[in-house]
Amino acid sequence: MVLVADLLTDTHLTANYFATDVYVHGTLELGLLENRRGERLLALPDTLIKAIYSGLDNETGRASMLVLYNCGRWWGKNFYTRFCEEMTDYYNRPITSLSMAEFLQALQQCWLTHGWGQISLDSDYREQGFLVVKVRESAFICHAPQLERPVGFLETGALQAFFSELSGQPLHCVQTACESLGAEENCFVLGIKERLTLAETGVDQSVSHGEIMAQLVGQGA
Amino acid sequence: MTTPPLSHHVLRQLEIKPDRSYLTAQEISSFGQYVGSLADRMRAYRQLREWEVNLIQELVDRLPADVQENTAALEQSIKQTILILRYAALGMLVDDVDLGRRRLAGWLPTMVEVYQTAPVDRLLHRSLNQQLPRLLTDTQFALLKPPLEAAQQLLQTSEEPPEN
Repeated sequence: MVLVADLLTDTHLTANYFATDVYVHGTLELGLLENRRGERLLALPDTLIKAIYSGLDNETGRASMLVLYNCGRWWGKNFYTRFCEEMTDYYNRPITSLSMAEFLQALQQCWLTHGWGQISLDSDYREQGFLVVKVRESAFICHAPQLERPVGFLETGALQAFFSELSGQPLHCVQTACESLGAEENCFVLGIKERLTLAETGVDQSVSHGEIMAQLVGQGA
Repeated sequence: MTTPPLSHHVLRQLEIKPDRSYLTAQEISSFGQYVGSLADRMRAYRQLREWEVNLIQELVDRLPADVQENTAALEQSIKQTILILRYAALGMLVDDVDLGRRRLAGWLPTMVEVYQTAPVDRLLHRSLNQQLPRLLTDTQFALLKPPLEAAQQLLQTSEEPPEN
């Protein structure tokens, strides 16, 4: 027999923590945008993102890809810490006790509310040791310079660091499809570095995401 | 990507206007209607707040035994029902029909799917919708109904046709 009163011993029911109209606040007289915990948020102008890309390209040339990737890793690692802190505070229990679905829902809503696009996970290759993350409408890729290859360097680093922290083991990440190359969504494959070599070669040779996945899965056979 | 509908929240509408002009006669009249109904909204809100536990418990007790056995789905469904009713009540109070739908949209459908709550949700909400008109006056229920229905729509997954 379920007693409603027992379910309400803590009258705070958890729901959609990152819901857009609750998560973003402003203390406008101080010139601050804040999240619901009072931590500062910034709105990045499109033109600034473009300027960062072109400034980096002017100053560092091809190395800018690596710079962005490393910035992404730093972002991802810190984002993971903050994300877990916020979730733990809100749910009032360790993040590891959340179901995968709750965790994912929060991550998706978080991504959306920050304006980074729509993120989703494809765990079809989990048994083979790969995780595919897809991002649509990426704000960072949309303004990246057009190259003959995927350009989500920031996200590649960020997702790599985030999922390495989450899984507790060093993972590598390779972007295998990119909106800048006409793909419907950006695909990122995560796995152990040695097992992703084929993916890196595949990307260099403009092999499609589907074929790369087939190769990756086939390599163990 | 679809643009989210602008809130029709009456106070918000009033808030963004003053630099343009005074309200039109029609706007004053619709604000007047809101103010006129405020006492009813407050009363209904207080009632729902007070009855929350008993009302939901009553709905739960009426569920068939086999539904009560699946505790995980049942508990999740109860929490969802409480949230929907709380959001609907607040939406009614501040005249924001979409409040619950807006806040729960990115979350509720996932939970329904993960915890497989659809069958329990259906039973709980059917009986909630029958029970509320008995507890509230006709006027109060008419005020609660739109925000409640808007939030309840999130429970209907794409495969299920809406119930009448």
